[in-house]
Amino acid sequence: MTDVILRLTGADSEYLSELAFEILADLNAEGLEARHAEGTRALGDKGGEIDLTTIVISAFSTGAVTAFLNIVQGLIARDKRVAIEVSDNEKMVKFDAVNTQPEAMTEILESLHKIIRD
Amino acid sequence: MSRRLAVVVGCNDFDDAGAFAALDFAVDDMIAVAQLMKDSNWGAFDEVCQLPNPSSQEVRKNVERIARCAENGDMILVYFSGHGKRDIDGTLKLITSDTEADLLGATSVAMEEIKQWFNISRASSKAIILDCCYAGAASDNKFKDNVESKLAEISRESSGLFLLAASSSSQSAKEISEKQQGALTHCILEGIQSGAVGGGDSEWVTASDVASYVKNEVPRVSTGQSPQSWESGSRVSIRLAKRVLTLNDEIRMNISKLISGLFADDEITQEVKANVEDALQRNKLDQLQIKWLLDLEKQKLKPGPFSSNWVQHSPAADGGAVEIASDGLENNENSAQTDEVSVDQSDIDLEEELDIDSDPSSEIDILDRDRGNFGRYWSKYTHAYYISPLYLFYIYALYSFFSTLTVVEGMVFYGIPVSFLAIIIWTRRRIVTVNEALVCTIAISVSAFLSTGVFVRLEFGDKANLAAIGYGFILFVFVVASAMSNDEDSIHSA
Repeated sequence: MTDVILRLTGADSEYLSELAFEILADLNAEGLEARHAEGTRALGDKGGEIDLTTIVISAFSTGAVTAFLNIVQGLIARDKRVAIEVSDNEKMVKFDAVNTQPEAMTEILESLHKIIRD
Repeated sequence: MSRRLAVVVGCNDFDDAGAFAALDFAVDDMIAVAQLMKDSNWGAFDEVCQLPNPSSQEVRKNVERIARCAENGDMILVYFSGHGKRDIDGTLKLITSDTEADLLGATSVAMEEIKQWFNISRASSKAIILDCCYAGAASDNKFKDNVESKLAEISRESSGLFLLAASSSSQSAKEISEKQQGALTHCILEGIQSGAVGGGDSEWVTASDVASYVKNEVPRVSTGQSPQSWESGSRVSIRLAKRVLTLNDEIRMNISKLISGLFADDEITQEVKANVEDALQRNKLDQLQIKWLLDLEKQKLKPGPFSSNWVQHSPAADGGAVEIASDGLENNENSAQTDEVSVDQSDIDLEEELDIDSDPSSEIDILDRDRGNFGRYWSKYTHAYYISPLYLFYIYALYSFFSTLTVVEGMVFYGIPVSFLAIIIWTRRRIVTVNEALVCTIAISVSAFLSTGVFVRLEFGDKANLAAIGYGFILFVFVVASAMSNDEDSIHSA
């Protein structure tokens, strides 16, 4: 199974990075193996080894898929500004609360499920 | 006596090179900051512990040491230049030479640890400067709450805590190749050494002054890097370094005009005018002279005291000052090169100049200390010279009219003329203010009137000589004491 990447956009980086830390903690608490994505370190950076707004989930245990979808759903409900991009090597789903009607949510979750399951 | 203690850390090289790329200038940053902090003309720290490429244990040990040994009234500073990394829980870790990415907690220095040591420290001023990535993560709410509640808990309301972070909790901090320094460190050093850091007339650059300056300057040299700062216990200004006073072209022009005007009004002598103009023209001014000029321009110092200060001091005339600044920065290629007149730091030692305790302080503090030393006051401020002959004369006057004059005649012939003379001389020479002169003179006149009457009525006879001398001495002490105990303005005048 390939890694699933969850990327946060739509707000300022400081806010998103704090949000990402919370999501990371939630994901790990649910038994998912999640970490920050590798960052690109520019010359002279005193850090930058990690991308604070992107999370890599590398292992989904049984039942973790549901937990992941719940976390994503909760994220959308929590902050309408934040846009979420979930992808693997082949597919990508991008959505946000503002442009996503409630009835479309089921379809999005199915797409997410498909990415994770594959 | 309060102490100033610092631990400065710079880390370029890392054992876990795969996880932490080597930096180029972190150790240089550390050395430059240490030099500035150690220099008695700048940071005036009593102890600066330098840690180039240290292990996490070395950092822990030294930070805890200064935190624990500091006493009330002391200042402690921790400066770090190197990699910063946020752990999976979001907390900031300072990366040291022995840090392993997979054992981050055990092999790095957690900000939580530093906070803990700072919280238990008795130091009155505590400052942390972090020139590393994600440094803003050091200031989570928990930290601030902890510090404030701790401060309240132990009733140390005067304690000051300051944190300056090179970037926000999500930003990288950068090294600037052209400057060969970290962006934050470069701006701190440049701001302090060039005198560009603004804020107040204090002789000290405070942590808040530096924070305001770097928040503007760092984004200019490092795009996408926004320094952040937090401060609590603001009753105490955290003094980072002594301030460099400068005169820009506009102020120099104003001062030149002012000096010409004062000379035209006969407020200053030709000698002083020529000396000031020469010093301005040749940029040969030390810190004390610049302060006097600025005070004169702001009307905080009157022409009389200015002239006497200038004539007595005048190191420029001795060739003591060196042209245009940066003497104390000879190893720092990055010192600011501005158009402003900057100053030779080697000549700014006001305390030595006036033979006063070396504890750095404001001018008022120095004068306050001086008030307690009559001999010094006597020699430094000349008004006592003017007062004493007048009193000798007054004593003679008292003695004379005991035998030959009535009380009224004594007052008319001696008391009133002497009083007027005193007012004219004191105020004309700006030795004391008009109010002071009036108070003294009225006190003298009333006392003379009453006591002379008493002396005559009691028929002291031969003892009148001693009584008059004793009386004159008491008056003399009274007037000097009253002149010495006046407010700041009159002290400047004196």
